[in-house]
Amino acid sequence: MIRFALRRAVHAAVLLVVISLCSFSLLQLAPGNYVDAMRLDVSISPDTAAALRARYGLNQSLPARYVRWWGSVLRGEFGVSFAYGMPVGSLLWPRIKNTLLLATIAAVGLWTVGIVLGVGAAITPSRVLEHVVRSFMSVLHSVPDLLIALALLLLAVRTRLFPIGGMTGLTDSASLAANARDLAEHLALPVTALVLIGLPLVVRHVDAAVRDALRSPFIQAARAHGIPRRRILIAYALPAAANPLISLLGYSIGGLLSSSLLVEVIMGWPGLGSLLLESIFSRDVHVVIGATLVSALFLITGNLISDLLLYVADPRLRVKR
Amino acid sequence: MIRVKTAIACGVLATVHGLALLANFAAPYSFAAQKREFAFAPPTAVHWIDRHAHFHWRPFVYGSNGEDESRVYPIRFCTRGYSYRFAGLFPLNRHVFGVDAPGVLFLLGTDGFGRDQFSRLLAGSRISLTAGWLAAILSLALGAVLGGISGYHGGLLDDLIMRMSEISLALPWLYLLLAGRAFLPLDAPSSTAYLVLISVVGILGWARPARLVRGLTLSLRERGYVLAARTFGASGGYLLRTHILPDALSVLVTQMALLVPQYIMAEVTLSFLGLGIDEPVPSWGNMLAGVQHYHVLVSSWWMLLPGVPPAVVALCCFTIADSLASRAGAIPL
Amino acid sequence: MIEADQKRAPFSPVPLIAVQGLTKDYGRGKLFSKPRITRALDNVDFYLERASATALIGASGSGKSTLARCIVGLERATSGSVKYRGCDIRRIRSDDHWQYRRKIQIVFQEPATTINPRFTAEAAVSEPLRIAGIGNRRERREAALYWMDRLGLPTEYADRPALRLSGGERQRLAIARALISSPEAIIFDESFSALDIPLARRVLTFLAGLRQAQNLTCLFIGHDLAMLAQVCSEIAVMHAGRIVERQSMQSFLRSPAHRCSRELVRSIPSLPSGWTA
Repeated sequence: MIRFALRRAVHAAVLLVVISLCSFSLLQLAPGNYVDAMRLDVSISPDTAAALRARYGLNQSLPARYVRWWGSVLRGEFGVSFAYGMPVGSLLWPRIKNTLLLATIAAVGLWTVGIVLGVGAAITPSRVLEHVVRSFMSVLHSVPDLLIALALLLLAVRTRLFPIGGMTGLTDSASLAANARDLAEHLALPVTALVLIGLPLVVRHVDAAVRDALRSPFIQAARAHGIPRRRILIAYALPAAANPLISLLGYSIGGLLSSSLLVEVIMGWPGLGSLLLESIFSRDVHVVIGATLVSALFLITGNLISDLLLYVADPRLRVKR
Repeated sequence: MIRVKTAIACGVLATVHGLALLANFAAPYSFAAQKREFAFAPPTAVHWIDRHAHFHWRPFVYGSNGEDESRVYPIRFCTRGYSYRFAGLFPLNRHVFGVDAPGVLFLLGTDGFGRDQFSRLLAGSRISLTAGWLAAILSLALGAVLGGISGYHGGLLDDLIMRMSEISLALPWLYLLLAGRAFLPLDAPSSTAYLVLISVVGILGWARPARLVRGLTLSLRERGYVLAARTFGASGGYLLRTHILPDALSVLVTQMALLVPQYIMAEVTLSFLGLGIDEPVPSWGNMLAGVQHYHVLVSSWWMLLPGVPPAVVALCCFTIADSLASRAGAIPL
Repeated sequence: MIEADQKRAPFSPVPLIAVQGLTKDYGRGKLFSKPRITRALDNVDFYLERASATALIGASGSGKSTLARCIVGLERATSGSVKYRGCDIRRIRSDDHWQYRRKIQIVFQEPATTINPRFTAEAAVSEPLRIAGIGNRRERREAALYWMDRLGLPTEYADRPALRLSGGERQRLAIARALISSPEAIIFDESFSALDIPLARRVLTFLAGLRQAQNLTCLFIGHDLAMLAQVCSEIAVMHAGRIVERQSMQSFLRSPAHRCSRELVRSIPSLPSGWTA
């Protein structure tokens, strides 16, 4: 298993290097750069612009800039942000933490609710309930993620129950409890949005997986043996259903990241996504590359974790041929 | 054979597309026409019974967007309005309905510039629907070609293509897309940028259809009846035409039904974030962008309405995809 | 090339099908990882005489199906040769290749996938003629109905989609389809597992009649030694990609040479003494 993990880690590293190369070339090939945008500002003289350009190395050739960027990476800086005037690394780090916080809590909520609803829909004897859950999930899937986030925002505005966007309120109190409460209030909406966005897919797959597991011959045999239903469900069916679901877990991380970008932008959560959007508009290339690399890293790590989980959970994968 | 739900879905989709095609005819106002005095006006109330409790066969509206009850403007059908080119060919200025100036009829309210949301919704449907179809076709075509080659030939080529698809699936599409959008100059003409963007979106999405087609090709290639046909001398062309394609076709159509709404959503998201089509051309996405301002969110609920058509289209497409999938599943194996 | 051989020595002792030193490896190099090769056939020597009925048995995975597919031309062997009437099948030119393919037919095991579910029964049976362009529509239909009838399928089935036929019916359609192009040899790869025993017996009796009338060569791959013993005059045993034994059926049943064969013979169920069939 260590060998497996190591091999995947090497793959991941290679992948990240490839992505960095692609992103770098693409972005630098693009006409116009950060300093050019300043041309519109008449107070900045052409000499200043030229000096800035030289300072940021924007007048060097592409390979030279790539090498220079790598030097910065090895120093831990990952290049410099033009707009913020600080190393990209230190700019990204707090944002990464915020996005991770949001994504992790959302993932936990998503899978908890998803498993409850999915298992419920699969085992309930009531056709009505099953139909209701399925239809609701169908409709929820069709509604654009945008609209869900906006509608939640509208709800916040109308009911004034939750703060409208942002991550922290204006609290003077330094007490942990108050800060935690404040954070929780601000988390509520984005997390709800992310859960609602990701729920249909999870519920559908949990439902299908549990249903398939319950139909399989070994479950029928267990029932014929007289093993009680609840035990069958928990000890037999769910572990069997776990296999496709763990794969889904890896895949859903990508979806979660993409949706979190939207939610961050709409609800003003200061995370990786909103930074990426901002830097695209200002052509702050090093930030764009840095953010892209980090998000790719998240995804690859997520897939790796789910592969490892699968390896641990499914004994069939461990049998040597 | 065709269930009621599917029939309704098809009907709704046909209506939406019909409206998109006839957008100019159905819209009372041009999408760029501004009436600043009616900025953020709520939807105009349509009445059949006037304040004297008389019933009118022809519905009407009151003046000043419903506030001035002294002036009554009946709704006329097949009326004259702004001129446009029908099918880009001949100029026309007839519209399905409208009211005489200075009366106004804003079925879905107006935005910050006093532009009729209903007309903009219709015009925007063209943009968003085209985006969905174009990207879906590109995605499916590229994916089918690569997946088919991969599955049919196997070997190193198959491995290479599969690795590339893994990489492609491993990346968060939105981030990659935004990064890719950054490489277009921000001041490129909007329609060019839009087309390029949609094409990129479609092309980037090749991986999932490719894997699907590859799996399909692999399994179909080994079916008993395909092997049997090979033993009596069937050519590759015959195998494809008679045995492989009919099965593959139903799967591909189902995929299409799933991809189109997905790409419509992608366009909506991109335009919302400001990276898709630009003002003044409307799309369902950039119409929603206005909602991000607090005052709009609080007081103008109708600005959220452009989110409804994509939801409706998506729901219909998913219904159709489900019914196609279950019909294909009726064939054993 | 094939016709010339036939004219030269119609009764030559060259076996209809001769396999020499056939080896088949599966598995190929992947990107970034070592290739994992499985050897399905290991230097196999095998032959089929005209108008013979041979049985080929062996445990699952011993290579029986692979051998069948190589003979029929569905797979290309890694090394060794397959000769049809003395000519290496790899040297047959493309236009003759189709001729060769029609002469050797194979009927597969899985009834569900052996016929395209969308085809009608008659269309499925007449497919070989359609592909070869033999006869017109009416003639093809007549031929199909003839063979369907001889295999016990009622004519009402002719226009029914294969979807709605049972596994046993589809398997019989597959056999009819193999027979319609007047082949010289048919390989039955576990084709009778889907048929119930009386039906299988009827079909086998019918095939025995064909063997006599048309000099049809049959190779039966299977597990059911009891059934095969009644039909085949010769038997070959495969194990781990090699032919480990080849004898006449009589001597085999009396004294199987190989260890695996002994197991197989021992496991034939027989009625207890005192019971009559």
